[in-house]
Amino acid sequence: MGVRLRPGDLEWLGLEADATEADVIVACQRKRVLYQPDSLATYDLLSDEERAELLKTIDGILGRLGVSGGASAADVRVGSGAPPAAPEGPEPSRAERPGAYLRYHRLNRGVPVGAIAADTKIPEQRLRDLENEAAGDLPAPVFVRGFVTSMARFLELDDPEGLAVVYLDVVMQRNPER
Amino acid sequence: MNDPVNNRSPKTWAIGGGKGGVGKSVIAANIAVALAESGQRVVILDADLGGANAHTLFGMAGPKLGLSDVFAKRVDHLDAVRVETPVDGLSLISGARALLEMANPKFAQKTKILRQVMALDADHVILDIGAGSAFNILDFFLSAHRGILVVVPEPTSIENAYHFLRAAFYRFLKHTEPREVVREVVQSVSSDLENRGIRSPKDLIDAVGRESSQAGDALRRQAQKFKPGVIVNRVRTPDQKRLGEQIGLACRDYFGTDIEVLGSIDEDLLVSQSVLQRRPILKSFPASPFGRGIRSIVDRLGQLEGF
Repeated sequence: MGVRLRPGDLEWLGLEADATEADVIVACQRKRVLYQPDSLATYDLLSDEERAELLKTIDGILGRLGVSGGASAADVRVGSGAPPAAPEGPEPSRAERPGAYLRYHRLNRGVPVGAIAADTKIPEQRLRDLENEAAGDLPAPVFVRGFVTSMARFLELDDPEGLAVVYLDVVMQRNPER
Repeated sequence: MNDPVNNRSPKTWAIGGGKGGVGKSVIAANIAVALAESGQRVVILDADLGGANAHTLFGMAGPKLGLSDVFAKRVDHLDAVRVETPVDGLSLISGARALLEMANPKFAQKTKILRQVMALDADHVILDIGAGSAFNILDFFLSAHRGILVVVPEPTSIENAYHFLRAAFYRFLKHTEPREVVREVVQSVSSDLENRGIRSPKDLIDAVGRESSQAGDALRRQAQKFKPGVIVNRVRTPDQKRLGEQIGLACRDYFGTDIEVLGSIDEDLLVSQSVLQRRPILKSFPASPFGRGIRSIVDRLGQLEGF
């Protein structure tokens, strides 16, 4: 990855030299949300021109990784794909729909499933099954617990282990193995 | 940003908002209550001259003596105007009955007050410094161990917050040594901002560094010490919960420094109930979302500061 990025890219994103492609994509998405025209967090801080320049810098970095910022997905080795669309509807209940809750927050952060797969080494299809709460397709609870915890940690959600317990309880309808 | 003078000096926390009406007085009062409940000795100093109402939040009548009496030299020391509140371990120094001219104290008076604050016999002093970015407010903010900014997820609050942070940051950098050298380079660079492509404080410091590595390094070292805390109040959506973190990212790019995100507090209708009752919400509704938010923030402060 270092070969494809420019020397200042990681520093600009606030990342260390050992950052993964997934880290870079997540950092770029975070910056994009921060600098887009309707962002509350940077209200009145920047001119339209400055915003446009920053967004161009972000697209440049994503372009060097082979990820397009637009609607068409570029084919990337890592399989991370284009940033997904924002979630629709309100935040699902964490206690009742933990899979939907994970999906909501993944989309909210603009993270493609492939980015999580690359970082956590959990296969993409498993992550989709987790989000869809497809109990019949999921492996044994001990694995599901680990997947949910990893995914929640990646998304920086509160109490990842607690969410995993909820998931086993609600989706797998079993007591979590201790 | 400033360490206590010695082990017996209190830790001082200045709570400001840039914008009025963001809830900083209620937050200041309840942070004070949470600290007192944990066994700390706390003073809440209402420095919002012209808008002091900390006493009302505790259901107290306006104390007969307050900060303005010290400013006006009717009383010699802050200790003489300190009154107990209904909360054990928490006393109050009121800013009530302050005349407008007190809102712009002379330098010598300000220094005297700040020195007395550092010498108060307490573990913590919470300074409610009011809205706006006038010099005296900035100085109270910068003199504290940590300045804390309260924002709400509204454009006006964010706008005022950056205005405040910019003003505080530049005022803070004025103390960079060696002053003569730094001032000279900054002035020379500032005379030509547009051509040098300087659009942010970070750009300015980088430009100074290109002219003089001594001045640039000195400014960067000073800038690293600028680490205000941020609290996001009145959160209603998951996105808004992350506003603090986003402001932090923006500050890193814009100022070149980090802020400390202390936490967020959910919108809570029980706040106005408790204000009407004239009791701090931590006493009237301790399990409320606001109460939990405050406790979480105080825990975070404790982690950061080791108490």
